[in-house]
Amino acid sequence: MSFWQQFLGFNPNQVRQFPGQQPGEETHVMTSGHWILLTPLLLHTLLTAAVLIYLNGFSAIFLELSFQMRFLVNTVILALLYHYMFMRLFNHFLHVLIITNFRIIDVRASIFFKREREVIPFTNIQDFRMYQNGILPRIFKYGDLILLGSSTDIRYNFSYIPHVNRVYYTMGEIHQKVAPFRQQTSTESARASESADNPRS
Amino acid sequence: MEYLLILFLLFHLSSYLICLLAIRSTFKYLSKHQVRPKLRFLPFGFLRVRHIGLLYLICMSLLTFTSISVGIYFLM
Repeated sequence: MSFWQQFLGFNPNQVRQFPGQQPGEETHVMTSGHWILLTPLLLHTLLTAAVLIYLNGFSAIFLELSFQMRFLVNTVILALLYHYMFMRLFNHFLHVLIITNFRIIDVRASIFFKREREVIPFTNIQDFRMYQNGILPRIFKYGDLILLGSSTDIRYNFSYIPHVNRVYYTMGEIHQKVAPFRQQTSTESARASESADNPRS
Repeated sequence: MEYLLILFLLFHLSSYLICLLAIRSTFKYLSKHQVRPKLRFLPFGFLRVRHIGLLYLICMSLLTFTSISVGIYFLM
């Protein structure tokens, strides 16, 4: 393995597609959020670039400073801008939604300080809905996905899913396949609750 | 001014270190998940995380080495 492969953590012998993948588990969808989430980043970058251009071209107070001072200020602002821009991009790509034939995994991570993971088995999902309301979601093909759990108060909301139609249909197919297992688990839980209610019978 | 320049050099060195750590951390995490996300935004549809990481590295390298060399020149 080369230095760069080792440095960046590539493992050519890796069999699993994500940590914790179970035997027989196939990944159907693996996606990060839609790029529309990056629009504020684009606006902030353009604004900072405009401020830098204004300072160096038109600001009389800034131009009165010595060349050394101007160089220091420009490079520091540029370094901070690069960090902000690229770290926001990396953080965007670290938020991943994985849909397998067993479950839905929501991986929320940031570069340094955050590692969150939520797993929702398909047997726990009673129903799911897709929302694509408005001009922008229709043009850019993104939307919200809402999963309803077996009890009414459990509700999971995934926003800004790209190609939400396709994800919805894929989930529908998987949901149909696991339907017998879901019925089995629900009858088992009903029996268990009945026996808990009437311990003498 | 000298103290300011030394502070400036330290800032750029630490910022380059943070850049390397961020790239390493991100790529390690993504390679575990075998995610190859694309920036699905025309005309940047070809851009993947590895390209963005490379761009980050190139930008920061250029900026850091220019700043440090010019900063040392100012100090001398």
